[in-house]
Amino acid sequence: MFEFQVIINGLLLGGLYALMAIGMSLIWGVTNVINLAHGALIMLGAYTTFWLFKLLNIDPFVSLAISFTTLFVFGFLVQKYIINFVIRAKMFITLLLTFGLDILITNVAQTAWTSNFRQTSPAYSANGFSFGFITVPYVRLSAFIISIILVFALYIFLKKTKTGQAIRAVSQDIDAARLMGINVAKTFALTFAIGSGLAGVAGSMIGVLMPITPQMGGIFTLKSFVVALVGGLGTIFGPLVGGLFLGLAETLGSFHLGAKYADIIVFGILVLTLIVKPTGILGKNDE
Amino acid sequence: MNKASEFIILGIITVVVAIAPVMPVIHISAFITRFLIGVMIYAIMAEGWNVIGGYTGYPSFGNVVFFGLGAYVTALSMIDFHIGFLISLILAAFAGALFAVIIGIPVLRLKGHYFAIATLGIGEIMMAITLNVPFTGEGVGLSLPIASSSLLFYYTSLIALAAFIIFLKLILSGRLGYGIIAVREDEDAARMMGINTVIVKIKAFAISGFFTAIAGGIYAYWSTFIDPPTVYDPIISVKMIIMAVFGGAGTILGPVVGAFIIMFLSDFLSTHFTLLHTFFFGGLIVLTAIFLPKGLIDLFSQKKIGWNYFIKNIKKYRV
Repeated sequence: MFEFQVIINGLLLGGLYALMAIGMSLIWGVTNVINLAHGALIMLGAYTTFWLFKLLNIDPFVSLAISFTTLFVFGFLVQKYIINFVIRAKMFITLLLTFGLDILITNVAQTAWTSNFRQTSPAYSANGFSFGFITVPYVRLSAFIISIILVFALYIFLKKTKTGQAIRAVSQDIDAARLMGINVAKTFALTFAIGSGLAGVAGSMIGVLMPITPQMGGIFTLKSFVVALVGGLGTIFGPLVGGLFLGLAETLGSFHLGAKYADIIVFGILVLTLIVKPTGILGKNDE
Repeated sequence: MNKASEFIILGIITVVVAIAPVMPVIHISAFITRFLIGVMIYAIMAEGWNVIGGYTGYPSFGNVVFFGLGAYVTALSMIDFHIGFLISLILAAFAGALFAVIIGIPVLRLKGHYFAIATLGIGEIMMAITLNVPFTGEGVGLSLPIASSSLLFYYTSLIALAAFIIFLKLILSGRLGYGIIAVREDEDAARMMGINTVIVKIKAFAISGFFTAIAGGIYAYWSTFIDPPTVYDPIISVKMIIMAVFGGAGTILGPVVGAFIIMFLSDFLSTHFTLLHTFFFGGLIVLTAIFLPKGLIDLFSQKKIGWNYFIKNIKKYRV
């Protein structure tokens, strides 16, 4: 019976992981930048929702849209005025740059909001429903559903809209896309903006589920990376598959081996994937 | 590099080499000795990163793993086996090199992003393992005996750094050095020319691990206390990288210069401008990545230094 609850918990955690990783996977797949400031963007999303709830009493689910928009604009500016300048430098320069941005954003947040633990806590945050032995918390279930909706929305956006097609074109071949009249710099900025916006949404949900601090981002960056990689880079449904896989592996692993092995399991999966099949579960085998 | 700047650099080196050994003896404050020990430990690490990241072109984001390993091997051999500091340090160095070979065999097959993140992951795994195995003191950490004088650390780190630089200089003018640089420039071509690229990469990684572990060992005894979150902190990896890149990755002296300048600025800001210091590392990394991707050494070896240099750098890499 416990086993069932553990699997449900794992799937719900997986939904949250998927939500975190959609943005990172999109940015990585299109611009070839591994955004090490991704966790910091999630953190900014969490604080946006927290302050809107605390100061204006706006419900976290309503402020998802505000959080998305805020981070969208922020991400657009970051890519346009910072990352676009080095995007063709050696790959580790972009890694270094985003790590610098991560430290910078974290420190600004820490100076502005202190390191105190905070949490967005609407009245229903601890509620859930149960059938038999199994309990399902509402907020986690919502995060799960939202991440599925967002993955499909992103799929439709990338396949059907003109901007989406431009993004896919740039991700395949920058020079060819430019010859077709696509503004590459702007497309990169838009991609990063969408990725940041999605990170903001993830942050809003996370802020309801766990404590918020300026330093919370680091672990989310790494987990988003693992999810994006395990699921399959450059695939739209990769984050969903990777998220559910990692969520289940982590929950089942800590249930059977002990909670202190959770990190070892996550990073073990990371290193094994890199060595055995760097293209991930959904990725094609040829490079 | 032009004549004048070469002359200046040679002059500075001569002065440093002449003064460094007698620095602590001709008094100077304990504060400066402490500062210089920190600089040298970081210079060893930045140089260690430089071997694999700068020369071989494999940017490790987890070199802190050797630092942490060196710190723990030194600490355990001193505490549990009562082995002297210097012998422990040598043990740590070989442990670092051995570990580099073990993880290098699978990881050095990866390229670019994948290599960078795999090393980052290995650093995190080592931290998690150290937190969970009983003989490392788990999360509590380890306390080392207190050394009688800080001069010990000054001279050990000075000798280690000097030995590293001389060793690197010798390596680079030999067969291995050419192999390393060939791998960086074009690995496939290097293999075609008959270079055993796997062995070359593993050797470079082992050198990196060997010296970085020494830095960890010196740090452990110097600080007298270590625990996993401190010695496996991924920020340390990033500090090594930024020091090497800021000074000039792929040059022998760049990382040393970078370590000195960054440590100095960091120290200066933290005492005089606390708020500014908060933004120092993040800001420095961003500015370096955009304006100085080739480092200070490259800037000073230009015939003419002006705005054009920075504008050219940006134009080259932007979209």
